[in-house]
Amino acid sequence: MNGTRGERLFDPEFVSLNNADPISIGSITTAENNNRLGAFINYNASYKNFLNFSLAGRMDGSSRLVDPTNWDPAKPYYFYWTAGSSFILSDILKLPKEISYLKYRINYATTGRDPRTPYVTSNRFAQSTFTGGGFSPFVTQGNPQLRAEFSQQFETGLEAKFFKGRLGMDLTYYSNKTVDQLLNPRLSYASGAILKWINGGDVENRGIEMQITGAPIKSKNFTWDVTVNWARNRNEILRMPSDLPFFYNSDTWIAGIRNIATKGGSIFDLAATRFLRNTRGDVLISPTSGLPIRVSDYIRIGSRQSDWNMGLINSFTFLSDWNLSFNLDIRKGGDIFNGTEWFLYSRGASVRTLDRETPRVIRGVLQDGLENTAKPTQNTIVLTPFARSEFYSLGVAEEDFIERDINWVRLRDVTLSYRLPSKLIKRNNLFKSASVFFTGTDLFILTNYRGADPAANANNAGSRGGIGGVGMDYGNIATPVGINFGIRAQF
Amino acid sequence: MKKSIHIFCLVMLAAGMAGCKKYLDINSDPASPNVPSLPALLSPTQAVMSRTLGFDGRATGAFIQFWSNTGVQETNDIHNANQGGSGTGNQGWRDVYQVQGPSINLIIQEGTKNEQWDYVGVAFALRAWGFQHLTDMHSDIVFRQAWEPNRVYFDYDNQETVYRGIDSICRRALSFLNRTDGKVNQTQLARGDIMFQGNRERWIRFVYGLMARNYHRLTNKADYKADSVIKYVDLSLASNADNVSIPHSATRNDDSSPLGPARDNFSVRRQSRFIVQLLDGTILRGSAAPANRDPRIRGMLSVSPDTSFISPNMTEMNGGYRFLLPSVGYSIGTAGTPAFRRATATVWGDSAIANPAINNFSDRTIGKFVFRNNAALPIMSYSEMQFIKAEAALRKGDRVTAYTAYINGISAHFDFVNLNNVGVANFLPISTTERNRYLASAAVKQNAAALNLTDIMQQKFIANWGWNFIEQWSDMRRFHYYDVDPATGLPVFNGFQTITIFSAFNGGPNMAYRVWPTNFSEFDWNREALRKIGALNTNYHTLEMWFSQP
Repeated sequence: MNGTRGERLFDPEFVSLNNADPISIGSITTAENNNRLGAFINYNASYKNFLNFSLAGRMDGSSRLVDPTNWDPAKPYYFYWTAGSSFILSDILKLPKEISYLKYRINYATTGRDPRTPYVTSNRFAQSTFTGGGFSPFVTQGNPQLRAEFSQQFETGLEAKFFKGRLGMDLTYYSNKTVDQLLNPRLSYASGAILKWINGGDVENRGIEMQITGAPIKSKNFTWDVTVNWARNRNEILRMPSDLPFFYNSDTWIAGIRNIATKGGSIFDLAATRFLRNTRGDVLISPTSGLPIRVSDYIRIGSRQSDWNMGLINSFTFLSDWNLSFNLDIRKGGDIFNGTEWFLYSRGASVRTLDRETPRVIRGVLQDGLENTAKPTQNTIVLTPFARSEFYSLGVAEEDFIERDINWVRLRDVTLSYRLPSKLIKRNNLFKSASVFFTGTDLFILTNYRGADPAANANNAGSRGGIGGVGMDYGNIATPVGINFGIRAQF
Repeated sequence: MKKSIHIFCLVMLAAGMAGCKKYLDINSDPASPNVPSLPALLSPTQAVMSRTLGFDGRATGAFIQFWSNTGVQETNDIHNANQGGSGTGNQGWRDVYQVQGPSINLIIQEGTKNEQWDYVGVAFALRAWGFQHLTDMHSDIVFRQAWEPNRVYFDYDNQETVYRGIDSICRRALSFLNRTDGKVNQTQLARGDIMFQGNRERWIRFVYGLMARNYHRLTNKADYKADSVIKYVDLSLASNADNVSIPHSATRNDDSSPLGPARDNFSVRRQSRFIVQLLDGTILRGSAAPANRDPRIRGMLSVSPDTSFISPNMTEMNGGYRFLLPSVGYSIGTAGTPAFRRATATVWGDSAIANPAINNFSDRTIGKFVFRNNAALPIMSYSEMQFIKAEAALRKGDRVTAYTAYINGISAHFDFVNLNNVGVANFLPISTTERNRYLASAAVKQNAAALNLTDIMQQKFIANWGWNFIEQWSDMRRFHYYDVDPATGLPVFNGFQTITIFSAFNGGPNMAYRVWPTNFSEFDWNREALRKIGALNTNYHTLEMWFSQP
């Protein structure tokens, strides 16, 4: 790709490079070439239709893994495979007649992935704009030892149907481990780079998913269908890349809080600077200002990982032409950072600051040399925030704006529809079928979260890496209530 | 059986794919080379040095009172070098490690492979310069582990290790620069050498100059080697023709001088009382009467627009060269009022009390002295070397050598001022008569017996002013800013404004001795290494460095 630029246009209306000040004209060339090739092999076997077995292997070659300064024929290739088996137990075992179908499945798969951009296996040099021109190192330095990253997925599950399909159940356990993750972290400039591609970091997601489908009532004029989804996921960072003590995604550094990845933690963790504490855990107070003392290290202070999530879908059909369905979204646990409240509080715009004229003493002990003795000096310095506005900056810990164990029940949507009777349709030649419907979305939420909406995300789609700003509420507005009315017709 | 056939096929396929070199070996960016030619690598490695010095000089220039800031209690005026509070002073960390580092490594690697020993020697010389800059700015730095592949955090080495290391890097540079075998070729070296156009002799002198600096920093130590310093000075720059500087073609932002008006880094930094009074006669002659003024003042400093206006304030009587005091700041009244006209001028020129040409790259010559878009930024001068020699000789008791070097240093700086004002509008070059009159005046010691440290260091300050930040800061740190010369009872930097207001980070009246390692890379990504050397303590920047300790 070629790009050109010019400044100080002589004629503001005429868009052309010829119209720019000649000494300002510059051009730049960028290019991205990739080649990939792959070979695939697949083997399927089945025995009397109740035992199925499959095995597949794939070998990929990617130009993105090639070190252009030193060709190594083995470097571009990586191999991954999958094996799966399922048994339809209801075909081989004699089961009670209530169980109409029972299937067990087990799968293991690995997947390989190359870096998301080319040219990261070697150092590159970019055009220098200094006097004399030439080439200067890219801010992102390459790594000739880069390899493909792999994920290892294990899944096993049981699928059952009862009462001739009236009740169904699907239970799954999974464990998904990603090893040698391809990462592009910032490093000390002493590396020669600002960002560098490395392999490293093992992350595991494991969890249980359950789905129950049922039709409790099935009669000529009334049908009730229910679907319940329930899921619990646990994320754990098993190994940090190159034993880095921590890693954070700078896109999520919001209002003094950021996500943090540490060994043994999860990618949902939040970190912030905290107040200095003594060995007993009391906040240390500066004897001169009466305000808490802050440490500059970012320490893990919360996790946005929920305990479980559940979806409940109900659908009622009555008098054959009417249908009412609704979808409830339920979540249990997980922390949310209420950055909006922090913002308002630290600027005196929150109702919680209305007591600003009330004198107070911040609970803690003075940092006077006695803080770690048996008898630390209790803080008795009275301050009135109204006269000491730094109370709302220095005296505020982001940690206090993390709302713990947030639950919600949310009505995602509810729809009532009516299908026009076929008698009515038959009279015209235009429609084959027609229905009218009314849908309400997000009509209510029950939650213990004090902000606008716990389904917050401080990042947008442009941010990269990790889970982003999920669970970080920073000026987010609540999901709007939607009301739709419509007609659906088929011609 | 069936399975094994498939596996066999897969193996065959893999073997076949190994032949796909042409198809897969395309991971080199067509727009950006992996191994640029040595000339293409060398010139940005040199050009970046002016950015390093100019940007970091914003901070250090305030510590040493080259200038003071227009803001009240500006961060650097109150000797805060805490990265938490200021972003200035960290450019070298980026430039030496990230811009110069990989290029120098590649020049050494490829130059050795091609037997281009002159390139290898130049690369080691630039590396020595870079490490000297970094350790003199930050004390402990990443030295032995720098650029190690597969490392994600980097331990610091103490300054003693770094100083010894720079000495041996200089010796390696010399051993390569002295070679004439292999593919050593001046024309080839000149293609990327914007500093010396391929002249190896000048590179050798530059390296000896770096060694003179490196050895001379240790004056407070018992094993200070004055003879080595004198020897290295004698092998270094022999005249103003050997002065070292980075040129600027001044067509756009990145190739213009960081001290120039277009880049506007210095509009808040105005000449200090110390430099104004050194040049207007107040300090050296006792009064700013016209006859007492140093003729260099017109080539270095800026006159405010109201030279005819004589106020009752003595400082106004020096010909209109006003100054700012540290931490006091600067406020000007409405245009047209006397208060407006009494403002301190910018570094860029007489009567310019506001930047005359921000972002104007079409006028390359606007400004004065080193403060022009197309002015080369000096990084070492003959005068500096002579003053180093003068001090070294005085310390070992050789007054005759010291006096000769002292006079050489002053005299050469007159030419330096003329040379750095070529093409400046309205600049009347300083004549030989004027110079001789100054050299014969009471501002200059008239015989070797009368010479003392204060004389040398004050004249060296004048010679360093405006550009030689690190050398000057190191001098001031050697003398702990306020040290008194026992021979005279006078402060070595007599006339230096006492700092009374300090940043809260300094933990009391403690001057800045080092700048914190850069926030962006070290505080976030190399934190444990900082913790080990105590750099997370808020007063880290006030700790005295190894080089100035006994």
